[in-house]
Amino acid sequence: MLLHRRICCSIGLAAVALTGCDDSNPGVGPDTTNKPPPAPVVLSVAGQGEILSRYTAEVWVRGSVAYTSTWGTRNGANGNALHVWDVSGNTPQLRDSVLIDQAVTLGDVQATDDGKYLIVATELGPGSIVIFDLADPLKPRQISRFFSPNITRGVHTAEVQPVNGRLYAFLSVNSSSLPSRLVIVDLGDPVNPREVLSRDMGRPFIHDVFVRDGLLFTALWHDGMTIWDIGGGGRGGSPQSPIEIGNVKTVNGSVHNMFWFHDPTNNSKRYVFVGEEGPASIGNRASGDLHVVDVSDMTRPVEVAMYHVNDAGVHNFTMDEPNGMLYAAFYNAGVRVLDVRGDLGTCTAEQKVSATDSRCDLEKMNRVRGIGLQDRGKPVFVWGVHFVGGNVYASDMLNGLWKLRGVTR
Amino acid sequence: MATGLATRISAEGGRTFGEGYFTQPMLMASATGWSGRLQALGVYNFEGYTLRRGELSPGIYGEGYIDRRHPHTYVHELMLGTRAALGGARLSLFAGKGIVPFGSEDPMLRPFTRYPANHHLAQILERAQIVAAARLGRLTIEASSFNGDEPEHPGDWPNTDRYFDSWSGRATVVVAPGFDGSASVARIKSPEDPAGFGLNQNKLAASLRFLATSNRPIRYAMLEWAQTTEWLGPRKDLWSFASGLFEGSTRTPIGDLAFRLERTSRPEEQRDKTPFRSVRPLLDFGILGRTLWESVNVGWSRGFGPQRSGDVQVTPFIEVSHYRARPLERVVIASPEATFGGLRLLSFSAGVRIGLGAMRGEMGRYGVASTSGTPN
Repeated sequence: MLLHRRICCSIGLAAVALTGCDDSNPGVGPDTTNKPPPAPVVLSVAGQGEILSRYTAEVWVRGSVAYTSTWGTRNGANGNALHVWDVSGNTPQLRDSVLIDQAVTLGDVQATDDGKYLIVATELGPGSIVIFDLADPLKPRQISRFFSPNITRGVHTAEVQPVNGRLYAFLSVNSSSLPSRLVIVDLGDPVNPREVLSRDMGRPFIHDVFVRDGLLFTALWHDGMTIWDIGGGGRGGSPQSPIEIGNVKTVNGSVHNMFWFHDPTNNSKRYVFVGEEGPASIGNRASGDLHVVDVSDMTRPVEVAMYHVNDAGVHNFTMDEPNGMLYAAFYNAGVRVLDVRGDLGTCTAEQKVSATDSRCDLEKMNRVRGIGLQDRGKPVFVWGVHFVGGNVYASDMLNGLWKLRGVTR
Repeated sequence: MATGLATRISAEGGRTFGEGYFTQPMLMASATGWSGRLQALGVYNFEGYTLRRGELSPGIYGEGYIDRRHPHTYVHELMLGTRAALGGARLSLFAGKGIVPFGSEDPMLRPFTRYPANHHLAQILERAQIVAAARLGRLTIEASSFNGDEPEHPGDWPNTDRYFDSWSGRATVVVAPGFDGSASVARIKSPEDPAGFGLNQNKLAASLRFLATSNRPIRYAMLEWAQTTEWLGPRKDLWSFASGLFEGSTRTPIGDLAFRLERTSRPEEQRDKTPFRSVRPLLDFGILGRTLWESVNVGWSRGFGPQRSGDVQVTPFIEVSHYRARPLERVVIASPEATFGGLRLLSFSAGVRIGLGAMRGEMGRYGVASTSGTPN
């Protein structure tokens, strides 16, 4: 509780008034106060690191260094490059480009929590994960590459997280008409990665996972989101033998990615945000909503709210948890910032999606706090976002890497 | 029937491709029994052996191939059916694997050897189906229920769990001897994802056709329009692809001359191991933009030897095509320019078609829907 009070107070009195940051009332959202919520702000752009030679894909930032992956083929150049950026200044500066052998397209890129390693997924030709040492963060050094017959057809996404102190990579494999597959790799010794699980799941895809506190959340497209105990659920699960806890099928299916929000101001762990990836004409327009799932009872998760942007679709998320702000990449609609502190599942009749849909609509609840990259005078297609140190970094398939100022309460 | 074909395609300011094929090799058979009331039709297609990499053909796409026509399945057609009469109407019912009653005649039986780009907009092939047809005077109505999943490879069979999840209908009116018009509609569930989770298609097509019934110089002409709209769940009408095509052939003292004009739009898709293969099913059901393909095609052919059933028929041919591709969206991530090095292409093809025995006059119209006529 002491930690809670410190974080809460550090936000400032204005935030207290807006969020109801009060021990006695931890679940009250900003819409229930008498004070009108602030209008969405236009996120201020600090700078842009332009990349036009390849399509930019995912972004990961650690400290003052950003890493972006590349995707597809642009002007004859394959998406086989890992770009390394110095983001200590306003404008991201490209410091290095690492070409990955045999790769046609790269998916996820992520540094480990301790900053020692960087993991890059390769998809098509053939699937693998490449592990880099980050002793010099601006000069990643490849120390190993993991191949397996179970991932040859391509690693679409990869997440790396510790489970009970041991590092694992969670690979989503789905690029063929064969069953989609989750593969878990033990990275306890990153030089010698070891596969510990290969399990078919997801119809038609397993697209992504989210790992926190020994729980694994899998995005299984039309099979919804499944929660597994892999060491923190108290059911005897492990990365070698995940045990299913619960499942929810969100509206429209196409479950693509997730983020389990831990609110440090009230210790609430009630919501998982789920991205729906509807069909898209990549580079032009997308579809798919953001869904809010209440996981108060992990065995019976239930969707309670959603957020929709016309003629656009949501992609990856990041969070400023101390401020309760969710940043969502929204492809052609740039970046959207939502205030997700408080109760997202209680709303007035007018704030519901419709008379026949009882979910709350976050836009009608005035939860939208910011919009980014819609003022650039040129098309954007934002794949990923990462919030670090008060800034949000947005990887734009068409234009490269943007550095934007985050939203404050 | 089989065709030896050599093709050279060069892009303006770009790359040149030269390839040779043994294309459209097949055996056709048919049999009737029970005083003509029972009929069986079969086509075994050998392209799975001779055309694995596909036939270079700018603008065409489908079944995981792009800018190459895919090989057809070995069992291209195997249909069995019967006919009956009811009042003034003639009825037929056929079942098996074959060509769905939708759109226009299989390009294999049309004047050009090389396929138009709109093959997957204007035809639905190689499905397990039940086809009912009724003919009353000049009007023929056909309806089919079939499996939506398209073939994944030449040896593939329709998935049993997908039987009858899609349907089509076609109405054809004989306006005058040799002239007919048809309109078709189809709804296909998830053709590109065999598990059934992929994008669905609503298809429409209409055509006007002339087939010479006497020895007049104009042998054949067809004007065709086709459209496919894709959708998924509540997201209707995600995008549409359309085609307009006119083609015809005429007999001259130096041989048969053919002409085709085409304007067809298509999706661009994430390429797989080569620039000519796309990932199936589409990753995350996203396309990478749309392009419009316009082409002008001219052809010459001349049959040698007696053109009688039971004889060997040898028909050399030459086909020349000019293609232009244009982006239909602001961003086309997988532009065909990356494949060809340019968006204006010139194609020159030459070859010889060899046939033995009786060639079927049409494909894909079963029982009383048969109009029988060869647009060659």
